[in-house]
Amino acid sequence: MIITKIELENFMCYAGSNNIFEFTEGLNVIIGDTTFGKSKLYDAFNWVIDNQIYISELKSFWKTGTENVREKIISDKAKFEATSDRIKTSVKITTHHPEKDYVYIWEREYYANRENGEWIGDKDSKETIWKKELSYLTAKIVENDEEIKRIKRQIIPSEIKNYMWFQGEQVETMIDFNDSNTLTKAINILSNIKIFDEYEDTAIYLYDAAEKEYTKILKETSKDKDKGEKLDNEKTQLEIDIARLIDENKEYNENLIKAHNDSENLLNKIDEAQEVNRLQDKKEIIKKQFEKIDKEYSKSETSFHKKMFKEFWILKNSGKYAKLFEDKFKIYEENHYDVINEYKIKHQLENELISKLETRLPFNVPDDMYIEKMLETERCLVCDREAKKESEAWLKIKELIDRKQESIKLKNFKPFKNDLENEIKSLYHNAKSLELNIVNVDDNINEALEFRKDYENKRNEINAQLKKIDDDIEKLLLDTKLKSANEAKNILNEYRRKVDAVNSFKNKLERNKKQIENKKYRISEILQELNKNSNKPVPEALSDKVKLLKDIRDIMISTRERIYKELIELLEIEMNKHYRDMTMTVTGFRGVIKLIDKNNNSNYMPQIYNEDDSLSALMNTSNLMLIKLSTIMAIISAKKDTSATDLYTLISDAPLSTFGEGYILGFCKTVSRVYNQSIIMSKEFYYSDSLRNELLNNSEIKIGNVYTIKPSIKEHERGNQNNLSTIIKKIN
Amino acid sequence: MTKDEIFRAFISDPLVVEKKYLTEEEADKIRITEATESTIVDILKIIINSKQDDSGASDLKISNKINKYLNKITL
Repeated sequence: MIITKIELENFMCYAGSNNIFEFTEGLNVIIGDTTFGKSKLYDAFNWVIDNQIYISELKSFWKTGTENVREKIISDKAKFEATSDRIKTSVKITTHHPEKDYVYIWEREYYANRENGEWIGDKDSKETIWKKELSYLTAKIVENDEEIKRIKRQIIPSEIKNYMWFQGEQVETMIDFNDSNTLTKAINILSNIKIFDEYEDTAIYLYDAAEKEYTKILKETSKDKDKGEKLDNEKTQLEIDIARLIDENKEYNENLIKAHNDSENLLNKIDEAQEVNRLQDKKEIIKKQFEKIDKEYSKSETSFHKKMFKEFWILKNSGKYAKLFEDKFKIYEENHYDVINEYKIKHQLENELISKLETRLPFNVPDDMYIEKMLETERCLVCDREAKKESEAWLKIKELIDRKQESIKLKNFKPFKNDLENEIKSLYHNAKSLELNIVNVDDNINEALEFRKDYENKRNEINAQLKKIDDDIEKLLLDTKLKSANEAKNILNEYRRKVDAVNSFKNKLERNKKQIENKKYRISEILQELNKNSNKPVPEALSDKVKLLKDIRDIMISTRERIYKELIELLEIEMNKHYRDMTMTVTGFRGVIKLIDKNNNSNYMPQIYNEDDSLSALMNTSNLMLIKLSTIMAIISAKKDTSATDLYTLISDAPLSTFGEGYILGFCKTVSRVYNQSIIMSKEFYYSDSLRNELLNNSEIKIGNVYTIKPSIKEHERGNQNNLSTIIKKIN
Repeated sequence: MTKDEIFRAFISDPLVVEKKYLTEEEADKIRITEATESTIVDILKIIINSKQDDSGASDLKISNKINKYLNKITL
């Protein structure tokens, strides 16, 4: 079945009713830049078939009538220019089986009504399928539900649709390599392997039923009924246990594969993460060194002003003053000595005089009071003789008082009013003691300044080191798409966790496997015991039947494994063929895809290998996407001409949007070879005339119809879409 | 897949020859429509025919058919 035509009426940017694309077998291409209407055309296909639209922002499909898909699907121009209060949008797809003389026309219509100036969309759309004989002009509506279902499946079965109709951004989710079953699921849907799964299930059922019948007979013919009953119960319990262990193993296997894949995915980043982490650690060490030096420096800086006094920096350049002070002090000291000396001589003379005065009577004898009385009474009390006033005797008595006063006066004589000799001497001695400091102060200051300079050098050096590390980390982060150094740390931790999980699940699986083996062995023992306990032999026909069905079961399991393996081998060849073709125009690393059954459970995963057969660590996003596309194409091409899948049309909107135009020609060649019919919406051919010529003229591309689309109004006018329609032009 | 393709897939499994149900030559030639004297081949045919012709035939139904066939040849 191929799609021969799609007609759009007032559907989104396709205003009016003359929006028709006709298609043939081969590669049909719709060329247009971003926002020109390619995705809307893709939406139109989906809308007709499934009554839903893919909303990119929400990354999901929405049914007509839901909030996101109501009157919004009707062209703004159509609504703006509508002359009535009811407006219609519709899309029609015409399909044709090359061997039939009729076509099916599948139409979906949707209406909106104008209420108070607002357009309100209906709750749902209406679909109609017409059958039209090619030789007649009229068509009749298909009303039989079974026939409608059959026609729908002929166009695209729902289980296959996701692999045949997709947008570039959906490729990533179509095949999820974190899900161990992803390839199996795709293979099951797009190949015949599911048939063999069903046969395998049936064979297991048949054998189990025969084996139960056999055990039942053994139990019924037991000599010791209790023993027979007991053994049978034990066998049943063992079978339940085995089933549980198998279920557990399925879960462990899933988790093991997931952990394994996660760890392998992380493995691609681990080197970079380790390098980032190593740099980060180095940075921390240098930072600590810096902190230590900084602390020392801060301490030194804080005490810097104290050093003015503690280290006598304040005395800088004071040497000459100290010398001046010393000279002056010497002069002072000489002068002071002279004065003191003079005083001493004078003092000595005076002492001599006092001594002389003391020759007759000692000082204070007689007491002053008696002397004054003697002068007053004019009589000497010592010798009791008269001493008339002003007489020689009276004057001699008076002299005793004067002598004393003279002595006091002499005793109180000082050479200086305030003698600062001690203070000046102390100052001198202090200055003397600071002499060495004054001499050393320049060296001391220089030493401190040198320390500061050293610190600044070290600080600059460390800062430069830190900056270099930061730059290295930033560069690594950019190259590796790691968001932060913290993420690198998280990756390392996560990787360790995943590796631990892998080991843990492996141990659990191994433990369960042993338990299953033991339990199976016990079941065989029980069967032997039941046989021995039986009082008559089991009918030969039953034994033969059990054996036959066991062998059939083994043959079917083995066949399924063999076919699956052959399919995988074929897939691997096909995948590489498509992968090579799609990457042939791109320089740089490509590698070889190998499908690896990592955990021996028939869940194969693709890996990129280098040409020397070593595992490549360069599985980047583009590689992954190409592998996914190659996988889907390989499943189709592996079954080409033997299955119905090649009768379905590939419809893809911007399939290469995530990895660039370099791949587009390779992709087109591969698609035109793999798919009987494909409809691709692409912007890659919009800007490049040479690419477009290549598309139209390359003999390796089986080209169908090629259209360009563009909006009727310029980009800056598209804020108001009341005039927007789409210009469709066929270019071949 | 046709019934014969499915049948051929099973018959060409190495286990068939290994368990001495057929020789390699016999396994290469045999088709689903051909009559044989091999019980295992007949049972395979019953399973395939039931599943392919009588779509949705339950495993129980197939088991009954096989029992009926085995009873018939035993008698």
